[in-house]
This record gives sequence, structure tokens and C-alpha cells, in this order.
Amino acid sequence: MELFLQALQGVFLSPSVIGVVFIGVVFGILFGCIPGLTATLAIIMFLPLTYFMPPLSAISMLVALYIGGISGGLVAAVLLNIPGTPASIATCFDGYPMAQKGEAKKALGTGIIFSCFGTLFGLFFLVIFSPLLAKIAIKFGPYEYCALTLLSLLLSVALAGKDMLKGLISAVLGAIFATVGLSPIDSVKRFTFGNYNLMTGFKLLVLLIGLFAVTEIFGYAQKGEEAENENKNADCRIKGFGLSGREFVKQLPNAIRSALIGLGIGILPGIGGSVSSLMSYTASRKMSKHPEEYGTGITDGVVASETANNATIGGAIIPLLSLGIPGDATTAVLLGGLMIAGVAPGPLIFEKNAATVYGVFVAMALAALITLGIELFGIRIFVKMLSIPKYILFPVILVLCCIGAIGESNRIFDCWGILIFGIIGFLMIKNGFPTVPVIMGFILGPILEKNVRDVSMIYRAESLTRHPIAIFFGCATVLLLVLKVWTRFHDKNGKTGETSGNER
Amino acid sequence: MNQKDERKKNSDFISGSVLAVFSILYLYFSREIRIFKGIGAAPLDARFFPRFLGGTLLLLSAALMIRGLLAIKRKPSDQKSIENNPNENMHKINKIGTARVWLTGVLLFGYIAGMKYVGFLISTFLFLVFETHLLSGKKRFRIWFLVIYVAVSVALDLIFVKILNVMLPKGIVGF
Repeated sequence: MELFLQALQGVFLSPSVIGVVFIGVVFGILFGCIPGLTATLAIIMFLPLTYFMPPLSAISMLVALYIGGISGGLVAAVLLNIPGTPASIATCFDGYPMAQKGEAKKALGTGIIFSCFGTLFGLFFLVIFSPLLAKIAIKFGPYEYCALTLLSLLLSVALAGKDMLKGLISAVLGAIFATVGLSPIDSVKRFTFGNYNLMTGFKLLVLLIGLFAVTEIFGYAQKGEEAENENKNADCRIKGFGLSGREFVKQLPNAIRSALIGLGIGILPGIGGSVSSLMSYTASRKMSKHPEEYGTGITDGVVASETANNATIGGAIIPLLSLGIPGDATTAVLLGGLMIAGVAPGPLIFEKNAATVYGVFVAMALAALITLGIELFGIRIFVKMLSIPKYILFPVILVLCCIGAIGESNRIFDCWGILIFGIIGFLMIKNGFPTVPVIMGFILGPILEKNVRDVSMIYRAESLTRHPIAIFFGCATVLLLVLKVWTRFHDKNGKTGETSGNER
Repeated sequence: MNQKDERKKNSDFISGSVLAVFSILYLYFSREIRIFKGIGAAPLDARFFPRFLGGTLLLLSAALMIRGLLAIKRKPSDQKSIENNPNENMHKINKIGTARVWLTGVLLFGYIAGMKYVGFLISTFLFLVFETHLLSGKKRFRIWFLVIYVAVSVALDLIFVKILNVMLPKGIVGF
């Protein structure tokens, strides 16, 4: 309690901390909004600015960028059907259809409110349960990760909708793209063809920009005037937040479930917000009384995605602070920020830097509320973005995507990557292949490979029967597969298949 | 059955074929992966996963090809000729759209290739001008767009290069 009071004093009585949190949120939202510029990039770019700041200010600014960036991703997802950040992939599925129906403000308002809810929910658990949760997460070994990644991959294929065969092909393709570069464990060169640029493999950001942003722009180029006319139907006349109190209460069970999923996924190192939003979306659809409505533009989908991806923030910071293990790519950069600020993460952090850590918790709550305020006040500005013709917006977005690709690794090679993946993504969509499983395969493939190879080394000494969590995930995978095949068998008799918002 | 359905069924067979060829090439190049055989080597080496993925993709591609073939054989071809098809205009529009896609790709290729030589600022301005002209059509492109794009290019350069220290190429021009 004393620590909390100290933390509250440290933040609210310090204009510099409030100032850097505000700046962090504003730039975080800006970076999150624009496809190609992510929260990760924002943190990388602002790291040099934190060199001369006191630890609390430095870390507060970085987490504010993180929170603003993740929250800001929903704007492009809703208005342009391009996720502003990887964590907003699932927001596109219902957010954009809602905008097309003229409910852009409602989609944005819902996303903003439940983003704040997710962040605060994750923060609550971060503060209360971080030591306990870290202890559970550290017990996950190769067996558990193998089972979990297989389950996640299967879920992503299930999300692909109508065509499971093409979904599976997409997931395998994503995993294949991830094999380029150095192999896990033994760092053997694979498919580099003597090109030093390929030694580090393809970056996730490059794949995302190519498959989502560039593909979207190619799609617009093909549609031309027809695509322009779609924008003019946007109805901006919804009052207030776009969401009534009754609707908010109705969505609470969905939000709480999604926040728990986001929190759980965030804790597991190496998984991240993109997976949590997709898994939460799938879970929400499976548990809904009207699953066929998902993908057509309903608030449930937006709530599931945005609550989960923001709750992941709190979850991802748990292993970062308690163990020094980043929960995702963004927290990996935050780890760098912590080291620069002289705060060494690990089991002793709560003993050596308790005041700073609790100060960061308070700063995170402040950042969540500031994000809510800025986005709600700016909601009209965001909706007005729809009136900017896409033929002006998209070329600028392409340029920003190229900057984003170059900014991460300082090489033009990544720009070629976004062009190649853009072409691949466009051809995939034209031929009915979903692109989301590609992303899942790309993220989870290396994790699966590493853990399968680890299992191969330890299975003689440690059998599967000693890993009940892995057995649980394995059974869930088999059950899901059986369920999916059984559902497809029944759908063959003429029922409409499931729809996915990613299909064009 | 219309032309779109016909193309859809053919696309399964064609996609499957392309993917099958890709997977064969992938498996072929996986032979070049060197295996670490020293002390501490894992039972499953660096070739295992690529071969597993390549084999899986080959199987799935074959399944897709078979599905495409079965679908083609199942329905008789009753495709109307394009000349008598009331959607002839749609076909023309599709061709224009496809041309725009290709040109966008070419412009993007030129932008990335040119960035290294003429620098970010100039290549960005040229790309914005040509791409906007392509996407908007002659009717909507205005001369004052040029002024805006100069401002946008300079602003992006200032923000990312000068303030955020992103190393964007200067090219032979030097700025």
C-alpha cells in the first residue's frame, strides 16, 4: 500500500512524467494508426530520447507508446481494413464491415472503450498476480509449447472459414517463409542462396505490410471507382461514444473472456498480441449464439479482438519484469529500454526497484485513460479520414510502409520483401486463399520447430505423461479437428459455410 | 454457369499445380541445408522441418489439384461467349483494373529501385505523383497535388531522417 502511495505521488506530482506519458500516448496512437508504423517501431525510434531521462520517466514513456500503439491499431483496421499493428488483425474482420455499413463511429467507439477496458484489466492482473502467473508460465516447456502452437495453428485454419484445405495451405506457406534464414537451435543457413540479407530471414513486419497493406492497395487499384464509392456511404451521425450503456453491459462477458485470453497469451513468451486477438475472436465466435454473424460487422468481434490485444500488454509485461523474458517483440524492445534506464528485470526487480516498478504501473493506468480521452475526443477526426480519397491516402501509406520496412533493419531489402509479399498476398486472395493463416504459420512455425526439436532431445528422459498441460492442449487440438471435420461434413449438405472478414 | 465460376474451378487446379511445383523446388533446395552432426546434435536436424513442410505442402497441393479436376469434370461447360455476354463491360473494366494493379506493382518496383540512386526525397515525390495519377485517373488529378506531394515528401524526410534518425537513402543527390 505504501508503495502504491509512493508511486501515485511519483507520477501525479511530477509534471514531467505526466508530460512524457501524454506525448508517448499521442505518438503511440499515431504510429499505431498508420499501417506500416507499429508500436514496436515507435518504441525503437523513441529509445534514444530516453537516454537522458530519469528511469521512471523513460519507462513510462515507452509503455505509453506501447499502449497508444496497440490501441491506435484499431483505427486503420476499422477505416481501411488494414491492421495498424499486428495485434489488430482480428479487428478488421468486423470493424471494417461495420464501417462499410455506416457504423464507423460505433466500431471505433467500441474498440476504444474496450481497448481501455482490456488495458486496465491486464494491468490489474499484472499488479495482483504477476508473481504467481510468472511461476506458472516458467513451467511451460517444449511439450507444452508444441501442443499450444499446434492448437493455435489449427484455430487459425478454423478461422479461415469456408475452405479448410486452402487455410491449411496458407498456414504451411507461412511456416515455409519463416524457414528462410538461420535455423533455431543450431543456426544453420537455410534457403539463403548466398544472399546475406536472407540470413536474418524475413521480418514479421515485412510480411504483414506486404500481405495486408500492399495487398489492400492492389485490391483498390483493381476496383478503382467502385472502391471509392464504398467510402461515401459511411454514416457519421452516431452520437456520443457510439455505444450505449446497455450495449456495454451486454458485451461485458465477451470482454472479460477476451481479456482473460489476452492475458494468458501475453504471459507466454514469444506468442504476442496478434495471436491473442485471433484466438479471442475465434473463441467469441464459437461461444456466440449467432456465429454466422461474425465477419458481417458486429460489435462482438471488435470487442473480442481489442479487449484481448490490450489485455496482452499487461500479460506480456509480467514475464518481462519478473523474469527478464519478453512476452513479444514489443516487450523485447522494452527490455532494452529497461536496461538503458538501469532497471534490471528479473526475480529481484520487486526488491531492488519496487518504487520504479509500481510507478510504471500507475503510469500505465494513466496512459490507458489518456488514450481513452484522446481517441474519444479525436473520434471525429478519425472518422473524417474516410473522406480523404483513397487515391491520395494509399500512395502515402505505401511510402510510410516502405519507411516502416526500412526503419526496422535499415535496409532497402525489406522494401523488396513487402513488394514480393504484396504480390503473393494479392494472388492468394484472388484465388481464394486466406492470408491470416500465413501470418500464424509464420509466427508459430519457428516456435513449433524449436520445441519439436527440443522434445526430440528430451523425450527419452521425460515422457509426455508427465506434462498434463501439454496433454490438455493436445486433446483440445484433436477435439477441435474432429469438430471441424464433423461440421464440414454437415455443411456439405448445403448449409452456408462460415464467413471470414478477411476474404474478399 | 458463368465465366467467374469457371475461372474459380480452373484456379483450384492452376493454384494446386503452382504450389506443387513450388513445394518440389523447396524440397529440392532443402538438400543444400547442412546438417550439424557434432556432439550435442539434436535427433531432428535443421532439414527436418523444411522437409516436413515441403512434403505437407506437396500433399495439400495434390489434393487441391484433384479437387479442381473433379470440379471441372463434374459440371458441363456451358460458358456463354464473351461477345453475347451482357457483362462484356465488366470484362473490360476488369482488364483496366488488372492493368492498374500491374502498373502499381511496376511503380512500386521503380520506387524501391530508384530510392537507392536518387534518394528518398525525390523518389518519394515521383512515386506519389505517378501513383496518385494512376489511381485517380486523369479526371481527378489536380496540379495542386504536386505542391502537396512536395510538402509531404519534405515533411516525411524531416520527421523520419532529421528527428527520428531513420536512415533513409540519400542517393547520389545527397539529400
